[in-house]
Amino acid sequence: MTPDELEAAVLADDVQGVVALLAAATEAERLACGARMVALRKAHGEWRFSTDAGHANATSLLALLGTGTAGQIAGGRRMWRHELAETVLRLRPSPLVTELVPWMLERLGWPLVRALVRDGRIPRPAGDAYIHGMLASFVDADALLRDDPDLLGTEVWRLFEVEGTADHSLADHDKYTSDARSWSHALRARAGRELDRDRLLDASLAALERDFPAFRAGWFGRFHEALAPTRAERAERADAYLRLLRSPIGPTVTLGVAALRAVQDAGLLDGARLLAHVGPAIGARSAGTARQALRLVERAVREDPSLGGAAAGALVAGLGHPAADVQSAAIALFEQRVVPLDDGAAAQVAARAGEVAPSLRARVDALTAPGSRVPEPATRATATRRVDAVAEPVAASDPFAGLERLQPAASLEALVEALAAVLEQEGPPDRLEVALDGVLRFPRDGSAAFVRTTRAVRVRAGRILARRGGPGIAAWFAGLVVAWVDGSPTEALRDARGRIGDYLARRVDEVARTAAAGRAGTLVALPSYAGGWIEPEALVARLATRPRDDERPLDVAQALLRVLPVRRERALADAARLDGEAGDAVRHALGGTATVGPSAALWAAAARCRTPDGDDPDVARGHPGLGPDAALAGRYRVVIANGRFMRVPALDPGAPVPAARADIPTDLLWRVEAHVTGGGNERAIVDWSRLIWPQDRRSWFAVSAALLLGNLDWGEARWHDRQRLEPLFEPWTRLGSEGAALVAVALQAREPGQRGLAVDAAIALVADGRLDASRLVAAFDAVATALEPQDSGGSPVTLFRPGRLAASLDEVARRSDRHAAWALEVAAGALARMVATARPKPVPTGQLAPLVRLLVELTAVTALPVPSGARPTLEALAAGSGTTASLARRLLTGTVPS
Amino acid sequence: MADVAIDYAYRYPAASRLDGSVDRTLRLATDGGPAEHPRLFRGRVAHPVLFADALLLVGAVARSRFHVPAAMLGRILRLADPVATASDDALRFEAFSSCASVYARLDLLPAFVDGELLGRGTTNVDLGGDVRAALAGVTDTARLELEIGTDDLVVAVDGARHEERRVALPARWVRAFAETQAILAAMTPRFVVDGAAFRRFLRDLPRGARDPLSVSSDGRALVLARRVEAGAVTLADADRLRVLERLAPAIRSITVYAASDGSSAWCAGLDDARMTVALSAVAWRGFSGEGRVLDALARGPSAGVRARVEGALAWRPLVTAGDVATELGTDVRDVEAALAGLAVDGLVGYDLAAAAYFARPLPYRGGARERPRLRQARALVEAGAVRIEPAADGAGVVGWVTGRTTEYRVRTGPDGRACTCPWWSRHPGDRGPCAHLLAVELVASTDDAAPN
Repeated sequence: MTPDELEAAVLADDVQGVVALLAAATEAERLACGARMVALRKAHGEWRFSTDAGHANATSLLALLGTGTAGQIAGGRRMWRHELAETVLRLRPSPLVTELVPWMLERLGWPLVRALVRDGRIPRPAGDAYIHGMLASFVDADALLRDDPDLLGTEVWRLFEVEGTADHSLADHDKYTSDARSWSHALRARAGRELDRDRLLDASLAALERDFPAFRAGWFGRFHEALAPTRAERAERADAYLRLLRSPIGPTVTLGVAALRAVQDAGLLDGARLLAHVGPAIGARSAGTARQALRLVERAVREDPSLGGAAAGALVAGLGHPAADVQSAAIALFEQRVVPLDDGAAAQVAARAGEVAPSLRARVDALTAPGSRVPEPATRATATRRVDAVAEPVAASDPFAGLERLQPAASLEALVEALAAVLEQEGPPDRLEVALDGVLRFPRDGSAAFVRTTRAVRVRAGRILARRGGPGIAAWFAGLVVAWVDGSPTEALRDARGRIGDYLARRVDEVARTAAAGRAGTLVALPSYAGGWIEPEALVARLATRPRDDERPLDVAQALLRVLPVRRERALADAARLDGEAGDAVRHALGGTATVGPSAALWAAAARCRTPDGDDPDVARGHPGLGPDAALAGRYRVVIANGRFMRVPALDPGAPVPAARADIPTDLLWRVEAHVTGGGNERAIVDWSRLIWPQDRRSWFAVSAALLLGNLDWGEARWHDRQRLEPLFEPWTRLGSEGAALVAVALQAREPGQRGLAVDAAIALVADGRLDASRLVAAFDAVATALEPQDSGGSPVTLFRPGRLAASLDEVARRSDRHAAWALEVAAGALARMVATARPKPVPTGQLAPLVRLLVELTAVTALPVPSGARPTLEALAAGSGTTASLARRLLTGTVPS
Repeated sequence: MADVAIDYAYRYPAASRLDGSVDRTLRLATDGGPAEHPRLFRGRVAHPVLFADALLLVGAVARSRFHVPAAMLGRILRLADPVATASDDALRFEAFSSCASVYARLDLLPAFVDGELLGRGTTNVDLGGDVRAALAGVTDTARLELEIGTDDLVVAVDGARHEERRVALPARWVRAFAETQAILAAMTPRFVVDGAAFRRFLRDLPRGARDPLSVSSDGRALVLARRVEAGAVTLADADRLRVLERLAPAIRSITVYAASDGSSAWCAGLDDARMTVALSAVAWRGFSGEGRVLDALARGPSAGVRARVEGALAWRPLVTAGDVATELGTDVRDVEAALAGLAVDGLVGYDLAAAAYFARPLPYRGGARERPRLRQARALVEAGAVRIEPAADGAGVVGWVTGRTTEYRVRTGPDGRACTCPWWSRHPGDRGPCAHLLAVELVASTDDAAPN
């Protein structure tokens, strides 16, 4: 065979001819053709199913397989599977085929490699990838072992040693296949027959020691247990089970503890060896596993009291356990003298005392006190008394005292830097406002310096507009930059779906049109301070110097919604010099008298500025029917509405609802549907939306409560909703019932960021006295009541998640004595409301245990009694059975649980 | 230019293993460094369980990936082994996660190991599945001997002479491993709490938290908040810190260090040992490409200083820039630049607790290559794409750098520095200078140095 002959067959697309030539050639002749075939493959190689696949595609592939070196083949273009590939490869010498194994496994599949191994053409590959091939999801394990029993000798055992990959592991295979096709079934069916049962038991335990990731390790644990080891078999493997106790994987530790219990039951567990290993199991994250481990210790020491000294070190690990009942069980073993407490152990216990739950501190103190004795159950009188500061008044301070001045762009260069940052980061909101102001402050002047300075940001803006579809801050500002630099006005906005994003886009567009005209000016709505506030006198000054032909109505209305509620009197006096309808509106907004003019949006803003949470009868008369939070204040409560697919939380604004107006942002803020951002950087849009109306957050809080309530269990990944909690931290914002409702909901959110931020907000709110416990309890009641009209069918929206609420309140409580007392009152009130809830679904009593346990701890840490209002609830719970009832009884009897 | 991977072959004489049934000997196979299979230490470990857990932690970090870029999904991960360094002041085991966002180092202080230092240097150590499984069974009731490098490793499998494993180490990963040391050197200690406080903190750490957390201290406890707070340490992708859970019961204290870019280091005090876990600002970014050392690299030390600093490192275990500068009679900034250069070349490590560098030549060969941004900056300078003019206010300089599509304005001065390119605008300063800034600074420094 010559290269020319083979090339001719390839180009003739003669598959059989190519194969025949290769078969008749010597290996030297084949290799001599390799370089030519690489070139042919480059010219003709295509994917098998490509529409362009055509002439010489298959023949160039086979020719390269039949002539290339391993490197040439592996580097070939678009090398796909062909039914004759195996035939051709079998013509090649074994060393070359062996070298190709990793490539064949990746590109030609495991069955081909396995066939070559089975036939002795190549040695069994040592790499894990060979074993991974057996774990492909389409493999029927039982059929595979039946058809290829040689696998039982080596390959099957390698399955227990190979970690696998994200999509090739025993766990993955068996999860997505029927039991009859699973590896677990295939191996169990052969245990004690073709496969050594003892070896399967040992191999599965050994795999658990290999610190595979939890998901993959889980298969080995389940398989081991599915083999149902006898007590004798477990006893033979006690050392292996003991080693599992150090595993970082919870279920593996649980398996080890359970197995050791069976060994102990059989009287075959070496107590000394147990105590040398059991410490990590007592510290296991699962409280149940930790308790079981403590029982192992207790029984070992009771059976052989000489082991007591060795057990002390292990028990100390239990004192640091997150679950109070594990701590309590560990303490009890010391108290009952099951485990002796010598000086060394007492020192270890004392060192861990700070990690013990408050309700147990008295018991630990009693243990470690000189001449310690077994304490009586501690009563509240003996519990740690910490709360001295609960009644301390919160120091009143001016919430506006610390406002940080916002500086406008000082130069064209500074503005360009700000714009460049806006195009990339889409925030922060203050910078967006500075950029809007800047293009008015530094109008296009046609100079070479202007062109040079703005060139980079203009190029970038052009690219953003060319690449990005849909709305978003970067796209809006890119349009602004183009309008400013080129003097070309932006396209008319087509989106007008009554969304807040549309309003923000209109604001940018309004500025862009002025900038395109090359007119100088300032942004009237530019905040004087970070956070959106405008100094009243600054507003008047800006309007006084504004050119008469400056037609930016959104800007003036937006400015009114940002005016500080303080220092308005002097500004009102100044405002006397303002003329026109805007001047009237400003005077009205600042508390003066003026005749209501014809511009509804302007006067709605004036009304909201004048009395943010009250009605404005003058504006209402001049502009009737504008709807909530225009002339009249909205009064919001959460209600349930029928959404497209399910019931969803919505708001009742307490007034007739007209069609949304994109030029009245306060009318958009309360509408849940207006907060759908519809694309772009949603977090940035939410952040900027916060600057619309800093004077009043009722609608913001109410909408946010509804949105978070509808996604309490994180059915939808709405990461930007976290930003909705930020206004809770504003020291000037009065929460009202709407803010309290948002806190009540967010403290129970599943998403850690939301819930954590709610915890931080609660800590801040308690610290500055803005959220009484009673108001939060009332919010629980209000939201829960709003949900009652639902029936229990389908998936009703529900409020209470006792476990999450308990965890949140626990975190708040640990911040200070004041916070602990607050959390106690909230927990008691929420518990009462949960127990009283019947519709749409009652809260299962078993789920209330974390909240009752929190009450136990908080009464211990504060030395305060359970709020009297909660006693009937606790009495009702105490009448039942289970952990919740037990804890409730202990609370009522006033003893610290042991 | 694409950031290629280094095709690296680990060649061990055999797999590491734990011998003995009661009194046990951990024989760690070595590869590379001062010899082909160097023998560095032999001796007894004071706290077997603690040592086993700590070594498993290091091994876990080496095998971890806390962020999987979309392009990596489905690809088999190539994992690097830990490296061990033997020196007079400590035995050190280091590892770097595959995603380059977590660095872990175990320092065994002299009281932890009672034995013989057979050699000084740095080598790869095999920590395969079998030895990890065996380490899980170590108890404190028996002796544990440690050998880093040994002659007593039998041929392991089917007559093979070597345990050989080829890995593709991304050049970016190798650079990051090295560069992390310079980033550690720029960190400052923020607070110290005891082990109980750290355990409570770990317990409270929200799982799956996506947004950065703020960590501060009230003197006794670590306080967690979800909003960025002044003076607090930022902790993004906080689940990465859970690698310390394995050691939590044994931690006596934690010292938290932080850098201005959001990266942090958590130095756990153990019995006669330390475990340092450093976290990059965010998991998806990793330490690589941080660019924190680009300024020092661009500046570079004065001629001869680097060699003299290397000389100082050769004869003592720990050095500080100040001490070396005093000894050499040179500017401390020069020494810092030299140490930064040595760090990014993988020749030194940084010990936060001692606030000093130590010699640690990484055994990877072929990893050192100029940083892409610095290379790009030099190319811009060579192409004459940089024009410098004095700032209008007389303080600092303004530069105009012609890129591929447009011209960017760069300023440096007492008010800070900035560039109008998209990269800087996206990461203003928190990932080091952009190529345009570096180019302007290179030209400006040349102009400064040029004779009038």
